[in-house]
Amino acid sequence: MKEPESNANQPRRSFLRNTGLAALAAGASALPAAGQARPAADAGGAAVAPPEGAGMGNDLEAQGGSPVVESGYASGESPLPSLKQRVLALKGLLIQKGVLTEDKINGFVAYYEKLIGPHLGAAAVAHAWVNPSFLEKLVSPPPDQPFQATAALREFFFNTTNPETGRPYLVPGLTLGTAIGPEGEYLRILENGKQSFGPDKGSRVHNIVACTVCSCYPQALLGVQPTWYKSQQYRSRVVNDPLGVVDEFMADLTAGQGAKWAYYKEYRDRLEEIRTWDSNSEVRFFVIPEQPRQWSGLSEQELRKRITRNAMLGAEILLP
Amino acid sequence: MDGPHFSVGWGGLGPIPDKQQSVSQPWHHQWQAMMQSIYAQLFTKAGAGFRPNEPAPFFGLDAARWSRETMAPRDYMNGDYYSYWLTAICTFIQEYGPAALGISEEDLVRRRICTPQQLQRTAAIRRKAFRQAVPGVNGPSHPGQLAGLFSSADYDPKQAGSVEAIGRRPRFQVGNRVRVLHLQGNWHTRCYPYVRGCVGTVMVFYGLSDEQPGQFDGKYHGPYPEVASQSRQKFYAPVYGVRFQGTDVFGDVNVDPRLRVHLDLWEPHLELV
Repeated sequence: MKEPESNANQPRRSFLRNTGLAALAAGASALPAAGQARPAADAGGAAVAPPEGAGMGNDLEAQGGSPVVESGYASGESPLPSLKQRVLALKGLLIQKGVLTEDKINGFVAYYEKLIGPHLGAAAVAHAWVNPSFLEKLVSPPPDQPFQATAALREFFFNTTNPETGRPYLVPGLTLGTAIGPEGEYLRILENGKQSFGPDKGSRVHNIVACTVCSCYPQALLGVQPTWYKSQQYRSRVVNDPLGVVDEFMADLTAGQGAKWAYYKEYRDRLEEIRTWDSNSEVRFFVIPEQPRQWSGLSEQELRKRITRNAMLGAEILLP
Repeated sequence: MDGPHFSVGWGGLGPIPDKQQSVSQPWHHQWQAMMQSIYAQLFTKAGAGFRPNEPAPFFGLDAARWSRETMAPRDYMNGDYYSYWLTAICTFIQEYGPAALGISEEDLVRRRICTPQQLQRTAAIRRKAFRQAVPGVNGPSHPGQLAGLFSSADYDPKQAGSVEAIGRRPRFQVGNRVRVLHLQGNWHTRCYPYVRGCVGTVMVFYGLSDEQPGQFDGKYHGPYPEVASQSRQKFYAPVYGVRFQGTDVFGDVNVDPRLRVHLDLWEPHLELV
C-alpha cells in the first residue's frame, strides 16, 4: 500500500478533492470488506491487498463504493480513507484526548489474543464428555436457574489446572469482574448429537449458533469471533438454511476424502431436529459437539486437543 | 429499525469467507485488534454512565447496535465489519462526545474518520425515533410526559419498585403459544422481522433481578433494548426463549421440516394466542 502523501502534495490533493475526485487523492486503498469478502482472497487467513499499481487510488470497490451508482454526490460527500487509516486516526484522537491509553488498548488486545480463546471451551467440552454429572449441569439447568451453566463453568475453570500453564484456567482477575469472562454471564449450553438429558433424551439434534444482526458470541469460552461468524454471508443463511451452511463447512473440511464426507452425511441424515439459535438478547449459546465413538478411549487431555472452535458453534461436526 | 442488517434469508451474498480462520490468529491485521479493543473498552465504560455518579445518560451495546442500523444502507453493504464498530463510536462522540470525552464531531470530520453527511443521517434518524412510540411503554408524546422520556408502570423499576418486582410477574409461562407482534419504527429493536407475525412456543423464562456487582444469581439482568438504546432510561421487561417451527417462519418451500428456530423475545413483543 502507498504511504500517506507528504504535505508537499497538499495543493494537488485539495484540488482533486474539490473536484470530487477524492478517491485519487486518498492514495492508499482500502482492504476488501471482510463482510462480503471473496473466499479465495482469504485462503491462508490473510486479507489480500490489490496488486501494486492496479488502480488502487481510483478503485471504487477498494474504496467501498458501488459501480452501480452515479459518479458524484450532490452533497459533495466523497469516499473516506481506508478503514485502517480511519481506525488509526480514531485511536490517535482518543489517546490524544486522554480517553484511552496506548497501554490499555494493547492490554486489551493481549487479553483477547492470549488469555481467552477456544482452549477454554474445549476444556469444558472434554470434561463434560468424561463426566455425565458435569454435562447434566451444563445442558439441563433447572427452570428457575436458567444460567446454572455459567456457575458450573466458573467452578470448573477456577478449580482445574490448565496443563499448558500449570495454573487454573481462570482466576478472578481474568474475568474482568464477570462470572467467567466477556459475554459469559448468561450461557445456555446445547448438546449436538444424541441428547443425554431432558425431555428430548435420546433424540438426535444438531444445534447451530449465530448472531444474525451483529456478532454476539460466547467470547468467554471461545475468544474473539472469527471472520466467518461476523460475515453477512453466514448471518443471512444460517437461520433459514443451517444444513446448507454446515454442508459448506464440511465440504471444505472433508475435501477429497470420501470416508469423512460419508461420516458426516450419516450424521446429517439421522438428525431428527435442526435448531438454530439467534443470539439477540444477552444470552449466549455454546455447543457441546457430538463425541465421535472412535474417541471413547482417549484421555481428557487428548480429547481437548481435538475439539475445534467451529464445532463448538455447530458450524461443523467433529470427524474421527 | 429495519434495514440491511436484517438480512436473514437474503440470497446472492456468496460463500462464507474464511471458514478455517486460524485460532492462533484472531485478527488478520493489528488495526482490527485495536478496533476491537477500543470498542470493548469504550462501551463497557460508557454503558455504565459517563458522568460521575450519574447512571444516565449512558451509551452501551444497545445504543451501539442502533448506531449501526442508522448507517446508510449503501455504507452498511459496502462496509467491512469493523467499520460498523467505528460508526458506533462516531455516533457516541456525535451525541455525547463533548460532554463525555472532550471530543466533538469536528474532530472526527477533520481527521476524516467519518463524513459530516454520515453524522447528519444518523442524527435525523435518531430525532425521528425520539418522537415515536415504542412497544410496551408510554411514548414520549404521551400526555403529561417529560419530553423525550418514556413511562411504564410495568417496566420502569422506579415505578414497579425494583427489577426483581418486574421479574416476579411475567405475563407468559413456559408452554404458552405466543404470537410475535408486528412493529415498525426508527428505534432499535431486537424483535427481528423474520419472526414478526409468527406463532411460537415459550421454552424458558430467563428471570429478572437487580444486578449485584460480583454476585451471580443465575437470573437475567439486562435492560429492555428498545428503551436502553436511547441512552436515557433503563427499563426491564421479562424476556423469554421462544421456539418456532422453521416452516412457520420461512414456509415449506426449500425449508427443512426438521428446522426449529430459537430466538429470545421480550414481553412487549408478544401476545398470548
